Amino acid sequence: MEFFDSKENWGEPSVRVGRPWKLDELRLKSNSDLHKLWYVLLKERNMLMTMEEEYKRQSELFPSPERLEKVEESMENLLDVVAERNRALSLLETGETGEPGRRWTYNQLGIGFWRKCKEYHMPQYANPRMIKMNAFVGPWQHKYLRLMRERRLWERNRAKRREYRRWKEYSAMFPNANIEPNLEQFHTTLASSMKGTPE
Amino acid sequence: MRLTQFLLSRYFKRYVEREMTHRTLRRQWKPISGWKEAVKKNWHYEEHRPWTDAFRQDNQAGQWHPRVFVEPIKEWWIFKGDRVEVLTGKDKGKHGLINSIIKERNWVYVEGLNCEYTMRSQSPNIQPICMKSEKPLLVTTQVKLIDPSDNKPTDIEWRFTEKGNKVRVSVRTGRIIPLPSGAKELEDFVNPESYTECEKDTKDDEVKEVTFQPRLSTFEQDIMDAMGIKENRKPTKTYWY
Repeated sequence: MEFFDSKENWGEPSVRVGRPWKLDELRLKSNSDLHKLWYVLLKERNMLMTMEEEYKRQSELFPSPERLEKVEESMENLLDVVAERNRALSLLETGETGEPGRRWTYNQLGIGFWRKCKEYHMPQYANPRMIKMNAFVGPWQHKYLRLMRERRLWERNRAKRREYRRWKEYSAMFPNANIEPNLEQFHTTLASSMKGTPE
Repeated sequence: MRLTQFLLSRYFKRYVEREMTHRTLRRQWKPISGWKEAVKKNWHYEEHRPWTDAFRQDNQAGQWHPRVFVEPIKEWWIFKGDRVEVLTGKDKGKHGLINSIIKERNWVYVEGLNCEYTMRSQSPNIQPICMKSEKPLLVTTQVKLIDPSDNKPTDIEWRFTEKGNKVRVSVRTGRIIPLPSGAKELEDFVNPESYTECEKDTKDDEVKEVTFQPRLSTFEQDIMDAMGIKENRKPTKTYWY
């Protein structure tokens, strides 16, 4: 079985290997080619994981461990291309993506989240597990949700002030660098964030 | 628009992240989720690369380092193999080629310059040998690119030529400073132009070969047709929620 690397690479300090497959390169290939490539990548990944374990067992350094990340990226790109093709066909024929989609729902603590739709054999109103989930919702959650909301607000404000202070510190230290405060992550502009902050 | 190539793949960053976090982060007990690795943001970068043991020791839980202020550089103007002049220290005024760059600290190593001499011996009885090791220099203040026209240090600007290429231009004389060969080296220390293909690599012409034929069928159906698999059963009604 091809779970081990070729004997020339055993004990080497590094193994030279190319780069991962790009999305554009995979888009040129036919479906059966991609199918075959998937198994080639899978065998390579199995081989690398076996070799990693074997080197650990022998208390030696595994050469070129970035090969695992390269294979992982190639496989992810392959799945993206396949999903792209299926989505395109589905949109053309039905007008919908054909993917499961997601819906906004609440968990047992009353916290909202986007839930990925799963496949069931019975409708939601008849599924005993889904009926049980409604029993957890109640007015007792309001206090804790309010506290959560307050916490999220002050965390965000503190982060904004921290970023603003850091920007002032760095601009004073490096006046020629033209540093801009990164406040976009808090979905505000500098003007609106400056309203409440002390000068 | 950046002149020099940058790695389009995500794999190198992921690999470095894995090497940094593996065995460095301490685990905390969270009431509902269980044992979780603590999130670490203040990584301390020194002369050692993130996948080395020395880096792991520097960043272990409980280690404290004084805060380091690194000037954020938007576009790097110095590359491996560039000729620069050292402006501070013992080797002030000397020219040298750049060996390696550490972007996290804005550091640059110049070949043979700004060195530290230490006496090291393998055991107390053996005579110590003088070891020479290069010390890093700051890119912004301690090192400057050399203008080829008059061999003097100069500041540079990125400007566009008439053809539309982005080049480094000396501010003092206006001469274009050409890029060294090391500029083509990517983040993962591989120069794509000088790379020779190995046994497991797919050859360039095979990669560029177009075998895709668009068909009005899903990926799965296409494979089934190619392999001669026939599925006539109808699936039962399922609900998605």
